[in-house]
Parts: sequence; structure tokens; C-alpha cells
Amino acid sequence: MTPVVLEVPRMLRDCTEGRPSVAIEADRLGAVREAIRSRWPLLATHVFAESGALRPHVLLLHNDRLVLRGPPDDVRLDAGDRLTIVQAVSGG
Amino acid sequence: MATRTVLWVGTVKGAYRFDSDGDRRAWRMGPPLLQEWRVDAMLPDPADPDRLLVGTSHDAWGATLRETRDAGATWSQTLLRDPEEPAEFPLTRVWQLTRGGEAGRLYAGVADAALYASEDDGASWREIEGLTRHPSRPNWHPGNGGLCLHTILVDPRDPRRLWVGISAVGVFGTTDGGESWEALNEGLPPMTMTGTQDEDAMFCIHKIALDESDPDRLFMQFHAHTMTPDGKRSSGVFRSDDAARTWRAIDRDLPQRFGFPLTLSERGELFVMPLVSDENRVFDQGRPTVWRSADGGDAWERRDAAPTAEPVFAGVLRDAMTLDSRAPTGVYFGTTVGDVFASADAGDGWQRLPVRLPRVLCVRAASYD
Repeated sequence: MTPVVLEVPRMLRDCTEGRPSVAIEADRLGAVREAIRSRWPLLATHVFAESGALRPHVLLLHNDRLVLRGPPDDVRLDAGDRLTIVQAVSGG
Repeated sequence: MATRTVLWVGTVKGAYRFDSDGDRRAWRMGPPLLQEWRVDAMLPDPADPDRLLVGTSHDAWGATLRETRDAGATWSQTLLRDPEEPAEFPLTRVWQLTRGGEAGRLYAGVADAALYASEDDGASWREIEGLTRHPSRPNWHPGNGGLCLHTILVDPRDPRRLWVGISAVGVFGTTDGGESWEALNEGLPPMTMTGTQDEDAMFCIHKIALDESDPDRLFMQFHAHTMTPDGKRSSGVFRSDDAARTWRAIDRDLPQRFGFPLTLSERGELFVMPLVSDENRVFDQGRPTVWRSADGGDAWERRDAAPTAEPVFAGVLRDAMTLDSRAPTGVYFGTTVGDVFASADAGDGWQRLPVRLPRVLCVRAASYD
């Protein structure tokens, strides 16, 4: 598996023992959810809906690029890649 | 005998704590807590004033339970569901937290409507699937606040006997600890606007209270909807004397029938807060008013919470009024514009606490020696 860095928003850092970023192991984007869920189940509950998709107002960035909600589960992750969880800009 | 009261106020942005002096006239406000979270439900510990269980949610980040044992300095989170197990419906909010009549037993009512139980004081939870699998469930429709299980009542004589209220569905009761449930809505006006024809699931219950000295007696604030094009409204406040099997209206002398909260004191004082109507959910003429009945709803007395203040065109949500256990009864409510009112004498006299908070969702009081 590939070690990548997961950056956690301030509101959810009590789910990661206060850490602003944590290391997870995932070799492709499609494996990120399971990697979070197995190590940080509280964080996974806040980030993913019951369907397994990202919650409607949650975004995931891969090396600062937005991961679109649907497909790219097969996008390969390289060691040291950065994944960032952010709240989408919603409302007025 | 209790000598002080702690008042907890949950809002769309955080929770706030107020500590009273002995006669509940002076209140000291603590620092804001959980400010970025919506605090939907609260359950104070009856033995520890610094311990509080809350249901929190956020439009982006979802809902969980949180507990503090140090008055909010630190919090821990608990999941109601195992994220590894598939879920048939979303969990968007925790609407109600209640003690279950046995040591360590707690209940949580959530949206989408479901009931969870803990036997270890909130450390772990399981769904009461007998309710979720009620045959009427496919016809359950949400009210304006969502498909929420917002009221949980436990018979103090028999903890296997429970009632729950679900909007806009109805009342369900169990006598076997939640294995089987029966719809208990006879006498209530059906809510045809929800679009269902299921007689077990077409009633918009706003709040129910149980008379713990006579647990066959329950009181209800109902939606009081408009029934005809010319504005005829249904009744809004009901009483049951047969454990919710049948309901009869007790609001003949109330000027308005629509409202959300309804509370009952240990001394049998019943409190409601009518709003103008379904279509105009504010205090009549901008006057926050509590109506009190000392005889089970046969006669009502009006008590103005702010008779000389500027008008307040706001409302009160279903869990935003509460009572304490002291004598005379302390009555407390928070409004949709963030005002908090307190009475130390069963609603005869009132003060507005010197603060304006975010929209108030829930208010809870607990008294301590």
C-alpha cells in the first residue's frame, strides 16, 4: 500500500486525536474511504454518507486538485501525495 | 433539597450554560461551547452538573453524540451506528435524548426517524429495530423539520412500556421494551396534507408529555393544521387518559391552537406556548405567552413572559421549553431569535436573561444540592 497524507479540517480534528494531518495507506483514490474508515471511524462518519459517497457538502482535494464526486476511483496515488478534506462553499 | 439550577441552551451554533443562584433570580453565563456545531438535543446528568450528553450536527459534517464531564472544557464523541454496517436510511440529527428508567439505559431519537438505546450510559448504542420495521414505515412522511423521532417517554412503573412521537407520522407505543409497536392516534385529526392514506402514519405530533404520577395520562401538542379552504383549523392540544389509546382535545379555551412545546411539571402543571398559526409561527401580537393549566387542561391561565418589553415576532421550537424539578416550578424557554426567558414561580413572573443567542433549538434544566 502507498503512504499518503490526509489533511483534516479543524472542526474534525477531535476525530484524529487533535492531529491536523494523519498518514493513511491507499494506492488509489477508491481505497481512501476504506483506509479512513478502518483507522479513523469517527472521521469517516463525518466525511462519508451512509451510501459511501462523500457527504453532499464535503470535498476531497488530491494534491490541491478537486476530486470530482463520481468516477476517478482508479486514480493512482503516489507516496507522499496529499489528500485534503474541505467543506464545500455552500449557500450565500 | 436542591439549592441551585443549571440551565443548558442548545442553539444552531453551540451550547450555552447558565448557573443560577439559590432563588433562581440571578444567572451567570458560561463560555460558548461547541460553537461551530448545531446542538439539537441535550441530556444533563441528574447527579453531576458538569456532565452533559448532547446530539450535535452540521450541514456538511453530519450528526454524532458528544459528551462532556468537565462542563464543556473537553468533549468525547460517540457513534450511534457502526459505520461498518450498511444503513437503510440517513442519520441527519439526534432530536431527543432521554433516560430509560433502568440504570445506565438511555434512548436517542433521531432523523430519519429511528430509536436507539444504550445500556451502558451512552458508551454504545443499538437500534430498536422493532420500531423501524413497523409496517407503516414506507408511508412515513417528514414534517418541515424532517422525519424526526422527537419525543421518547418511559413509564416510571414499567420501563418496558414506552411511547414515541414522530413527525409527521404519529404516536407509537410498546409494552415489551421495543420488540413490537402499536400506532396510537385515535381521536387525532389526520394530516391529509402529508399525502398518505395510512391511518397509522398521518399525524403531525409536535410534543408529548407523560404524567409520571399517573402514567396512563399523556398530553400532546399537535400541529393544529388548517383543514378547509376558509381556514378552519384542527384542535391542537390533546389529552389521553388511557395510555394514548384515545385522545381528546383540551384546547377549547386557548386563543390559538398551533404550537410546538408542551411540558408537564411534577406537580401536574401543564404549560403550552401557542403561536398564531401553522402559516404564521410567531407569538400573537409579538407577545411571548405561556398558557398554564393546573387541572389537566380543563382550564387555562395566560402568563405573559414579557408584558412591557418590545414585541418579539418569533416562535419557540418543540424542545425549547423546559421545567426544573424545584418548587415552585422553574419554567424556561428560548426563542427562534435567541432570547432566553426564565420564571422561578411556575410562570407567574419572568425575566429575560441578558443575552441574545443564535436560534434556540433546545433548553434543559437540572437542579442540584
